[in-house]
Amino acid sequence: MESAFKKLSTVLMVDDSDADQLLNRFVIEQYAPDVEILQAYDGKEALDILEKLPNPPDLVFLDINMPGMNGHEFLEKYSHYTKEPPPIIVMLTSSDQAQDREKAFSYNFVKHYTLKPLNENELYNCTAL
Amino acid sequence: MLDSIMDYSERLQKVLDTVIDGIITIDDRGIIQSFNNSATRIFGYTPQEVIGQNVKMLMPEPYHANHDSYLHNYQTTGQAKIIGIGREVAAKRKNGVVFPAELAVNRMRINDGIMFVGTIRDITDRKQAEEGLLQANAELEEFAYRTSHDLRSPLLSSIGLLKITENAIISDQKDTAIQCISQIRKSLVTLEALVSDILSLTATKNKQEEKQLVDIEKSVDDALEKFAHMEGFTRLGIQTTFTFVDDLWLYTSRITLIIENLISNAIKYQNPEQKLPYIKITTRKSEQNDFIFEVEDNGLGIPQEKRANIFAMFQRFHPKTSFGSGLGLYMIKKSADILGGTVNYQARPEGSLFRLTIPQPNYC
Repeated sequence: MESAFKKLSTVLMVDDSDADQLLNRFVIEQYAPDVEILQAYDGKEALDILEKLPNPPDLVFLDINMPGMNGHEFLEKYSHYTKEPPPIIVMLTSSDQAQDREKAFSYNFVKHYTLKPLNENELYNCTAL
Repeated sequence: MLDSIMDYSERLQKVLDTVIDGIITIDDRGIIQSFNNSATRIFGYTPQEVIGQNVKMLMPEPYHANHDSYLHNYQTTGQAKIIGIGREVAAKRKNGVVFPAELAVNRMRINDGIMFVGTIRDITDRKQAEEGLLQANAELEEFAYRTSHDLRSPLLSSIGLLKITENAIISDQKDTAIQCISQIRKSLVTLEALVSDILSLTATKNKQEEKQLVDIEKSVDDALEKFAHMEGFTRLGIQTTFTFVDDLWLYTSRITLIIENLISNAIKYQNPEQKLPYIKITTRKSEQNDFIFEVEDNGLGIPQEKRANIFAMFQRFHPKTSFGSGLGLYMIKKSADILGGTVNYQARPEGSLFRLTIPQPNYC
């Protein structure tokens, strides 16, 4: 398990909730202490961060329900994103709705759909993507 | 014999005039032959005004223009679209108002001629009730979907953070434990606010109350006092101008909800970078004698692309200042509806202006 996490160097966390940001940071840092964690509070901010980064993050954890630009709107905008290779997007949400799931998976760069809260097993699965 | 026929005919007319449905007979050219009392009540015409006229006068377009050809088609092909079937149609009253109606038409042979009997029922109330139910149902679905998210989210993260707190305490990492607990507390406070909004929303929907004489100045002062502890309140320049002096009879709970939510929004969503942030609270009387209540600020405003739906449920506009439940403006809108008024939003060069308008008959 340790070795798998070595692949991760940067993770972008897109979530409007401070509580989730904090929780996710603890879960990730516990298993990959050296990872750089970038935080965005809505889709717009995430796009701005992705635009400025010289190298894309290894993973983007994306919430759906956010004020400002929500997760679905972010995916739509992000599908026009040109940088290669695109980072892997993992939906991390409390919505278990089929319609949210389908909408997210209609984008081929969405690789995984995880229900909150993030735990170590899910995180391990994500690094294997 | 003649007497008894007269008697019978009179009695029949009484029956026709007593039934709830409008009953109209026409001949094979569409000319109205009889028009009962209920038809008069429904359409607003007296029998004298319509008998001898073409029945299409009771129809809006396109039925009005097409009715002659409907009759013609039926007579040449025998194919009926409505005769013997019954359906929902649009009909037109004397005053021009178009309304939904249920119409059944039957054909009858009298002597050598053909006549048609139309039975018409005004279903405006039923349609309105149906639409109200559909809307309420859609809202309820949306509500269930959104609460599943907004109620569960803070619970899930708190559960996760509690586990981390536990580990932190075991491994003697006090700082981590304190950080987690402080965040859990914040989440629970937000959750409590959401639950309390949901409760007052249910109250908004169900509460029966009498109108009372409202002292708007006092309600505004009470609200300002209630929110004086909120973050950033002391930075704000608060200006009040009350020029509306008439008696205001309103449902106290609704007007209080509107005043409190508009004011607390203006406080919450002030612009921290604004040197002189202000809230202007105004009452006045419009030229049409409407009661006007306005709350204007030079705060964060609402992004252009979000302005269309601002009064819908669970709308939040401000990342990082997102402590709102997303129900505030929706509750304001619902309350304004119940007060017989309207609420609207105008973007200012900086900030927002919310205006509640209540027409005179609804506050007297």
